[in-house]
Amino acid sequence: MHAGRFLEYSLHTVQDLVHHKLLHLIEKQANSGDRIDLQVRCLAPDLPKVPFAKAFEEATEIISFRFFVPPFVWQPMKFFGVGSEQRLKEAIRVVHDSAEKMVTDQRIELSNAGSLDDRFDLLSRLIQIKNPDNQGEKGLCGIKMSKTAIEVPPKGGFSFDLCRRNEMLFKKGVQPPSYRKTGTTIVGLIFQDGVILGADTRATEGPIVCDKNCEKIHYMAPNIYCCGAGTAADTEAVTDMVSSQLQLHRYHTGRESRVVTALTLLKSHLFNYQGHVQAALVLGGVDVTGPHLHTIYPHGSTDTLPFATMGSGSLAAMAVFESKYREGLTKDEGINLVCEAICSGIFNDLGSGSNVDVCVITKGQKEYLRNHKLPNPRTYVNPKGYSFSKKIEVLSTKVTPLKERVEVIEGGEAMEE
Amino acid sequence: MTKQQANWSPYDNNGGSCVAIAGADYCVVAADTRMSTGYSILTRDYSKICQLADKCVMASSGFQADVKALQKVLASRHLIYQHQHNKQMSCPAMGQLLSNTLYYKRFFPYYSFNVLGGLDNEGKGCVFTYDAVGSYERVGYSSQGSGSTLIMPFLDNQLKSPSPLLLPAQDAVTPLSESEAVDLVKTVFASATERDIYTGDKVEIVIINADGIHRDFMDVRKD
Repeated sequence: MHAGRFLEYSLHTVQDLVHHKLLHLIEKQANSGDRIDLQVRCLAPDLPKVPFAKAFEEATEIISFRFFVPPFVWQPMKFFGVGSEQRLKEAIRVVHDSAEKMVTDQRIELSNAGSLDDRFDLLSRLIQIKNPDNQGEKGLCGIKMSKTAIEVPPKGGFSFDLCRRNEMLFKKGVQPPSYRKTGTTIVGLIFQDGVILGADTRATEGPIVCDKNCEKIHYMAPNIYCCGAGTAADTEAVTDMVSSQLQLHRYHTGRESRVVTALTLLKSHLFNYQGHVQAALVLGGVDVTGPHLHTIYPHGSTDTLPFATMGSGSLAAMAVFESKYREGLTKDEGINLVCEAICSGIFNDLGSGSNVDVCVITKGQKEYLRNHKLPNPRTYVNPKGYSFSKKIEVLSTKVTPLKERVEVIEGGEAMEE
Repeated sequence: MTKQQANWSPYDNNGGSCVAIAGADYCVVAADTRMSTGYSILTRDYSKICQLADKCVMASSGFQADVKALQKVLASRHLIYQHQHNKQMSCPAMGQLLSNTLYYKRFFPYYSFNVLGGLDNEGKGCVFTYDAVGSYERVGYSSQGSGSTLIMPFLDNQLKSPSPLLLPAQDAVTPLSESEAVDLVKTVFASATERDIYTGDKVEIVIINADGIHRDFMDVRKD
């Protein structure tokens, strides 16, 4: 119940603010032609930011706690002012006080300086426009309440704002959403004339196969390919990004990309993200200095090896490599060995399956053998097939013609490309 | 001080799926033969189906050590019954016994998801489906195990009349013939194998009818 009313209240507040204040403000700005900075910097540097933020977070936590216990638990607590409800009261008081202080400070500045034209933040603008009245105070406090009112320097990368909330939810037993991992077998080996990479084609979401034939060997450069294991989104994003960076580098230098360049770009990116980007890669290619094969771990460490395996099926594949690998393999022997290793992963590891992809890179040429082996055909197909009758009962029909919203103006100018 | 959590669990999940379908005068019970733990395969050739009485067969997925213990308890109780009553237990009687045995361990359950299939006293097919602590119900068809979420909707769609989706169920058993039911079971396992990593290798299909019990095997994907 309270969730619904809260939503309603927030909606009304926002509507109010937008219709009565924000739109006027933007209209005024549009007419005057000034630039307006909507990045809110409403906190003066001297204000105690820390207690405000802390109190705000605490209040959020305690309110979320209300959702986990029945009303007859927290309502008496609120009435008697005990336990978490008492802390909530205190936290709300701190938040309100800080917000009001900020607003009054701005007003004092307004009365001292005469105008706040040189302060381009949203709050100053709003103070200037509207008449000082009680309702306005609440509205301004409402803007303050939003987390974006807190001065935050723009930063890239990950935002860890919700980590505390997530931890608390996890402790209460709420499962975090799962992401798709490739639960994989990827391998690479160096043979006589270059490098051979191999991968299986199964993508899993927990115990379910979500893609029976996905591509795990990613293009980096015409002479460099990279296999990826771990979170599918991470391997895709990281290999695409470094592939673009290599292309730019090629334009810049006018030379063929080197494998160590890709290696350094990948490892520094992964290290910067301290292992949160869960991509385990096998990078292989042939450049002017010869054939190279590297493994890259999610935290950013690398190995340079003559043969390598990664993923959940890496042990099964490595067992094959350790028994049968030798230096100076020919191309066919190499391809067969890679297929054997991947098949070992496919049949012995539950996270890997379906087909074998192979990529052979030699000096000046590459062969991408997609689905080189298909050792898992579908077994039983009923020759008669199955019928799925459309037994959906139509209970009632209501047709609502949509009003035409587009006006077609005849004889307009042609759009420029 | 935060509550101490155990860092050892007495349970493990060995995966697998089982299915049972009841017909007018037969019953088909099937399960895959893969036993796994984590991401590894322990064996490709493990039977999850156990014959409890001459017209009663149980298929169980979950933690196979608990399943083995459960089967032993039921076998010994059945032997006692035979000595006391001078006859075999009927399928509904075995159904009740299984439910009681499971509930007996309500506070340290058998991690075992069972389907019981067989012929009742009139010779009609009957299937009983259980949860881990003994709640059971007589149904026309059922599936349990890691692939059950993939299998059940398909069975609901194809075996319409005993389906509880058309409340109330029009028939207690499916009107399909025995060979059609076996075909359905084969298709269902081939499909579940495609998408569930814990189901695969081989499928053991057991058919119970008036002539007795007949066992068949089918190969499926091994990856």
